[in-house]
Amino acid sequence: MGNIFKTLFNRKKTEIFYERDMTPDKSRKLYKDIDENIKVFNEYLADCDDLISREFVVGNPNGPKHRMVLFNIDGLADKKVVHEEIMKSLMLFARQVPLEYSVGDKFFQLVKDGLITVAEVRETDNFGEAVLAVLSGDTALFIDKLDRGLILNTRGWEKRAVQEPSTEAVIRGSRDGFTETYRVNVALVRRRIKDPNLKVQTVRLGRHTRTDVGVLYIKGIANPSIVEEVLKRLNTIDISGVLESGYIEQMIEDNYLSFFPLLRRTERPDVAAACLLEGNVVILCDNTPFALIAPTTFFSLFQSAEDYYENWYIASLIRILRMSAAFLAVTAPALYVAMVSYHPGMLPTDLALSIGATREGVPFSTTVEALIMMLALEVLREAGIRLPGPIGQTIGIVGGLVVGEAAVRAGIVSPIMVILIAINAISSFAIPNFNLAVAFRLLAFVFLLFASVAGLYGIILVYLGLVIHLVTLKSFGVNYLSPLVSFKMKRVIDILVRPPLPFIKERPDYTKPLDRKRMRDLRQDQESEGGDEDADGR
Amino acid sequence: MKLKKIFLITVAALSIFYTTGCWDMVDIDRRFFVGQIGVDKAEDGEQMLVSFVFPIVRKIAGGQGGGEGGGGGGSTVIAVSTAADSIHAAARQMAMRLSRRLFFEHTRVILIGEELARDGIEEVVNFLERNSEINRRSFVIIVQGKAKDLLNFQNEIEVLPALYIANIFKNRDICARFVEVDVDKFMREIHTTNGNVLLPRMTLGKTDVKISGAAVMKKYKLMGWLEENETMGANFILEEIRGADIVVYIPGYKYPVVFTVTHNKAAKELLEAGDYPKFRVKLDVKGEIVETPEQIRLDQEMLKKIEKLLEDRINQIVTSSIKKLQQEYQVDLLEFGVYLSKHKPEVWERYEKDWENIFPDAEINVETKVTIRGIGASY
Repeated sequence: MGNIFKTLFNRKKTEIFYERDMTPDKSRKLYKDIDENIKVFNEYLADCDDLISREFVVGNPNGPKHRMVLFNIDGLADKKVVHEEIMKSLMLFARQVPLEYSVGDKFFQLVKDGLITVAEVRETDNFGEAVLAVLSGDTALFIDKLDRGLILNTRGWEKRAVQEPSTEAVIRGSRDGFTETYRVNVALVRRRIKDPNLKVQTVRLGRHTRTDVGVLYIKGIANPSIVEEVLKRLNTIDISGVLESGYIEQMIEDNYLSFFPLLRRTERPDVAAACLLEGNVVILCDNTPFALIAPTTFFSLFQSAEDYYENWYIASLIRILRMSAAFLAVTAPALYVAMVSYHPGMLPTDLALSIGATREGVPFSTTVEALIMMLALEVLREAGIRLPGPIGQTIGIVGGLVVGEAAVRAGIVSPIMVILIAINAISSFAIPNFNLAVAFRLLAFVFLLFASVAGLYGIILVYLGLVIHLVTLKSFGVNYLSPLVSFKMKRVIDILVRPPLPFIKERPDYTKPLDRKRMRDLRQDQESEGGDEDADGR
Repeated sequence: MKLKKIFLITVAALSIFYTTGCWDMVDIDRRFFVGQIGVDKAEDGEQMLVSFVFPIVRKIAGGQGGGEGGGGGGSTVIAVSTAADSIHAAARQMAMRLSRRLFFEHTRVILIGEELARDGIEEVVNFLERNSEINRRSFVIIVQGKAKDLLNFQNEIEVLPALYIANIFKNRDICARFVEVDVDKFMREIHTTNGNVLLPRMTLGKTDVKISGAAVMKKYKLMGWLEENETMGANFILEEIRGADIVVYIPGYKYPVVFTVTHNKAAKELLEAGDYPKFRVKLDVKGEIVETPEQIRLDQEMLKKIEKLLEDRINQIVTSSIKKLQQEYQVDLLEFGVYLSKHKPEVWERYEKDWENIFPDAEINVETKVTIRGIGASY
């Protein structure tokens, strides 16, 4: 009896195999005997059927023969490279090696420097490094009678091509998006910033997954304190696996409980590059097409890539539009309920009468009506995402048109409510950041609840609470409501208006960049110089 | 720390329950939108006869509820009336007869019957003051006859007869033959002047209504009426003209010259402050000529001549209005007292107590200057 309880409630903690320290265990050195090496290596990767090992013998026909062994993982290593650049070179060219080079260290040097035609070759003297390299897609090469091995970069697996990002489509702007491969992602950013000051620091996270996580920043612009903070927080993560950058986001954000995303995410390398140039830190994670940007402010979540590619008035107009959409996304149902149930006097008489007319015969109170519609919409949205493309569209039509129209005809819902919820939903989709849009839709329920209990008073109450919450939020030491809290008129205008490019001479100050200056207006300088010359002439 | 936080949140949440007006959640389809309130003297002479008019929302266009739809033949409004001691009591009495709640925030007009107005409208003033629901933008109107008669007034233009009446006041920018007083202004004026106020007058036709002239209220009681031209004269002195037409005849021509006032300034000035004050009112009127006899040629000379004629005509209108108020009603509704108290407080101190008796004997000269600013597209 006691034993049952013991097993039920006192479960023994199982030890995690790998250590928190992500650097491989270097204590187990290679042996001189190749058979010993093969045995130990196979022990490490016992029962891993995807391990490929190949033993072969090369050497000058007149000289000593060398036994060699290759290890790599099927599917991770590029077969063509292994065949052509390693096996073929070794087998063919080793025959012609002069005799004096065919023994011991000299032979090893020759293999490393002269025979293998792979760009990246590393030496190792322990099993830990070799195993990790093989698991990452490299090929390990051991040679008989040598206690050193070679790690050859043969990484090449099936990967998605660089495609147009699906969640951040633009009308004007580059069409390439991040993919699942870390190095490709870094390269996409590097292609935009050919500056030696663009630094990439890679850490490995996840005891089992050992995922590459890169911290990108531009030295000389990014504030070192923020870079340090990011690295520090990354190093506090001790988790068994990092499968998506969302894991990292949730582990390093400042407030775990807040609705609001405290890290901006992007699928676009140009956005990442723009943020790097503003002094932000970009976190790239292997297996994820989403990069994280730190620090993040509330209003930066309203920006999209296009804002800086289009003309300033278009961008400004759209920015204002997004703000109003956000307002509608949060408060439209609540305002309607408050107006209709508590303060019909605030509506114009004609409108009040026609709303009253449409509500005639609806069996539910306005609050319940709004709740039904909002819930139905959320369900439709969720169903639409899960279903494959064509069916998803059908659901949209069936849900939106048929159900809405039928509900109105049946007199369960008033037509104005259908219009209102539609506006509410469309507004929430106008917000570029998905997380923020979801947060807003969630808040819409809170607002609705308070509006149905206390009318406009309730709405104001929630707004007050919301503002208090937002003011307390910080992202990597930066105020979340940044240009608003340390009030500077010029910066505050930036929220609504995107100034013409020549006017943005300085980087935004919330990232506390080391170098504030963003552009020098040569045109203006020339003009003023020209003016001086004129003055001299006279 | 945490306990304190929870406490504070609880207090904040509970405070909702103490705020007044927040528990009166009544859905929009559970209310009757009263468009007009009518107040009359009841037949027994003691009580008031209060009537409310509100629309049948279901019959208004846009209503669903099946096939019967909009018109349906019958009336789109319902009128109910009851005898009660006060308007509020009447509204509460209605609760026994109506399935939904009466709602006054969309009330557009408050109609006061002539008979009740002659007895005094203190009760109506008090109701308007204390009721938290009443719309401050609704118009206060004195009905020549009985307000109850208006219950049968209907037309198909606006959904509510009250809207029809209220929208007439929007025509004030082209017509100055009546006054416009909403609840807000009514309150302000009736308290600063202790019950003296000009209110619009409404007369009933067989199928329509007409708002014209003004009712002269003195000490909360209706004294009589100002006719249309006299109302215009009063509006000139009160600077209340946003658009008015003046018609003058040039001797020798069959058709008149019609002049539209676009700008109007009135400057009061105290000339003497003897036993009775002597005022001068300078009217600065600007406008356009919109019609002339066909033969006329509007050169500078002719314009001068027309200006002179217009000045005389306006003087005449204004003076007759002043005369009527001074001699017949003996009440200062033209803000001469207000002018004195604001600009000549030391003089006002002397007159204030007996202003009622002093005003009728005050000498008021009107000087008008007319400027013609436009004559249309032809000479």
